[in-house]
Amino acid sequence: MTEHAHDREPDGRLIEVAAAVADRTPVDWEQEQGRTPGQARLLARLSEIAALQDAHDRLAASSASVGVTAGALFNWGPLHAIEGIGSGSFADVYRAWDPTLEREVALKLRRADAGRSTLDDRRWIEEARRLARIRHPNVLVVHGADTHDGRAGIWTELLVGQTLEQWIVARGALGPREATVVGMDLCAALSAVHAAGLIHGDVTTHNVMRAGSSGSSDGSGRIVLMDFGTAHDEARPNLIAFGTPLFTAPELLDGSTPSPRSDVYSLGIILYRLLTARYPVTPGPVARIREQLTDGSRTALRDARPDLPAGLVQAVERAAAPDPDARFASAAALEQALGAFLPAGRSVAPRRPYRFAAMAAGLIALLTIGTFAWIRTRPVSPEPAPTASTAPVQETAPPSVVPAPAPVTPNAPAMLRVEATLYRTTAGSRERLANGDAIAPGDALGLEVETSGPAHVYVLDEDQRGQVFALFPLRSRGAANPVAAGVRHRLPGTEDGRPLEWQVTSAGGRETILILVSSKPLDTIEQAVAGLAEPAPGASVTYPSLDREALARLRGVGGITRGEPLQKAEGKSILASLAGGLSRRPDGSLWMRMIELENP
Amino acid sequence: MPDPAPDSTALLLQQVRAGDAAARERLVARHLPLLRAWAHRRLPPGARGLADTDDLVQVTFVRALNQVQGFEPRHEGAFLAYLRQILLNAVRDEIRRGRRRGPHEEVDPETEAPGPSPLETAIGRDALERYDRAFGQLGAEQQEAVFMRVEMGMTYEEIAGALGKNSANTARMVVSRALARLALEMEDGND
Repeated sequence: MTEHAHDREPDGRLIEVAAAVADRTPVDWEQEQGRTPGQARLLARLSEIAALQDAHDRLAASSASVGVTAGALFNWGPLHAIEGIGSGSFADVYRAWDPTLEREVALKLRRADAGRSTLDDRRWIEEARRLARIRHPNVLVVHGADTHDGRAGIWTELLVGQTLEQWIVARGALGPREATVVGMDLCAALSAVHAAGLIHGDVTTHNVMRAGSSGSSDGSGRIVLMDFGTAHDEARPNLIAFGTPLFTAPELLDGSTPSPRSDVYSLGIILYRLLTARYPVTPGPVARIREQLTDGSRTALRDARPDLPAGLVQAVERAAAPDPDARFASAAALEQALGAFLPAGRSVAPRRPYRFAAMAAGLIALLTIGTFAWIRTRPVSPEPAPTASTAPVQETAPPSVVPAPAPVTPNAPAMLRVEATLYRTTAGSRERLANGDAIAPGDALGLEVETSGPAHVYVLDEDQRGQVFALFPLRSRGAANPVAAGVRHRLPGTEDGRPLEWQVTSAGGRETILILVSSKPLDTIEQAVAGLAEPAPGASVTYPSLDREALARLRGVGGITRGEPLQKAEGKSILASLAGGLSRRPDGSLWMRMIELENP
Repeated sequence: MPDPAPDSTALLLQQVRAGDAAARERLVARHLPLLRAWAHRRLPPGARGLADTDDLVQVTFVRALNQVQGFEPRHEGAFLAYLRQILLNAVRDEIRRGRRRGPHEEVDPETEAPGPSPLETAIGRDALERYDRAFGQLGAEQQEAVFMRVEMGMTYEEIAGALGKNSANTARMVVSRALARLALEMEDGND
């Protein structure tokens, strides 16, 4: 009978080393070889336990450094402060437990030693109570305000995410569309604040959160204006002591009373910063900042970003005008100006950048046999055929994705003209999909493509986790490359005379679809998709994401070194990198288009 | 066993069972942050976002407390081990769900696991599986001892209190023997 572990007793030496592991005393595993092979193996297992313990310790320490600490710190009224998550000049913020509602909240408590009077506290509380009446998706939800044990405090929804400042620092300047959408959210937030008769007074990139989802119903990437604590605390001159002068309207620096226009100025600076990752003035002492606003040394937005649309530049410059009379009179007016910049006739899709999004992304990868009648109609709004000398479909390409999918060699003889439409079929009718459109589980998607010459078509999908899937070509199913010229193809093609489709199988994120059309085979893509599983005839097919080696190849094209982790790089998707790499490669006629779809 | 110290987890548990809401709140506030941090170490970064992991832990914890009426832990350590087990189940469910949300419904789960959890990244998937399997072979007290010392980094004094031992040194011996036993089980399962 084989002797099992439970039949054996650990020997004294093993227990001794185990005790050292438990004590966190360093063990020289090289020396602890063991006298017999069996002993050596047990010591090897013990070293694994030590490594696991070490990992727990290390990971616990790193989470403690971002605010996860043990135990309830103290009680404040009905709330239990669990851990500190931030502190300002005169207040501390805690993650707290609200036992009544059995949920976590953010609790902001004024410091007892902040040298404030009870009158100040009362004003602060009154302020918070007025804020609590504002209900707007882009304004922090204030649950309540009170004083307990001599400490004034307000408690609010608990947001997890990044401040705009952290976001910008991490990923650099935004594209015009992305910045515009954030700006419009903030305009809406400020309008709600102003409508309640309040002035925020400290609108900065530090006081706006890009929140992740805090529950399934809460959208990710929600822009939330917060930190009203400093808004109306004191007479204005104090603002400079704890506010952020770079975002403060010059008239406030001169001692004027805050107004909606001064909040609009701050929002203008936020937009400037989102678009440039810089400020219009050089940071420095308050007096120096004030000087630069009038002495002409301020950097105009059009100089910092000459590529931006003129309408957007004008709107931001007018919002951030040093002269209050030159500014928009209200946040709503700024919102309108920003909205005018977006493509006409398109509502502002709630394009949520999902850096913090929680759920696994949905995917478009399950291929099914279509069962509905195939409608042979043209797209609802057929786009003009992009030619080799014109960048295709600019009006739907947000600047946050790959810029100008321009042909690689403008003067090459074999220019490829491509007309391509990604569409969704619902109940037999087809709807063209554009950037920012929402898709949902159950949707069936297809690509209609026509080319002026024989062409190789590749369709790749990336979910928000950075996993890449090949949608076309499909080995042994559907259409094959190259596709014939002058024919309107519907991809992925047909099987036994019935159309195939890509079906959306799950929700929860953003899908980036990259369409590449080339007159020559694209070796990198061919290699990357070559290893995919062979679909079983007649059955639904799942496509595993591309393997590490394939991704490494794609990243190689995209100009990302192999040493980098294969997860989605911060702010740079694999497909965006890939497209960027291809556009720089002068090896033939190439057309590409990237479409981002929301799959909320 | 001596009477539980005032405000000890054991006493709080008694009070929770008696319907004391305040005790329930204190219990949550005491354990939630550590368990949340523990769950973050177990979940692949892609499986859930920060907020949702927190939500998962919170919901699991509250659910566990709702069932505490029928649960008579011998001591705090047993309560912690109980929380660990249900949380680990929730984490595994979540990882499975994450897989189902993807395109991998018909793909062998062994080959299509989501990205590694922080712990897997640290020590490797094989070693973590060996550990988890062997952990399940240990007796209740040894499981509690290993969890508190190795995974939660509690002091011997805390562990002594949680296991109802009379000294930190006794707790140290319990932990050491448990780790040696764990190594045996890991090697046994590795055959």
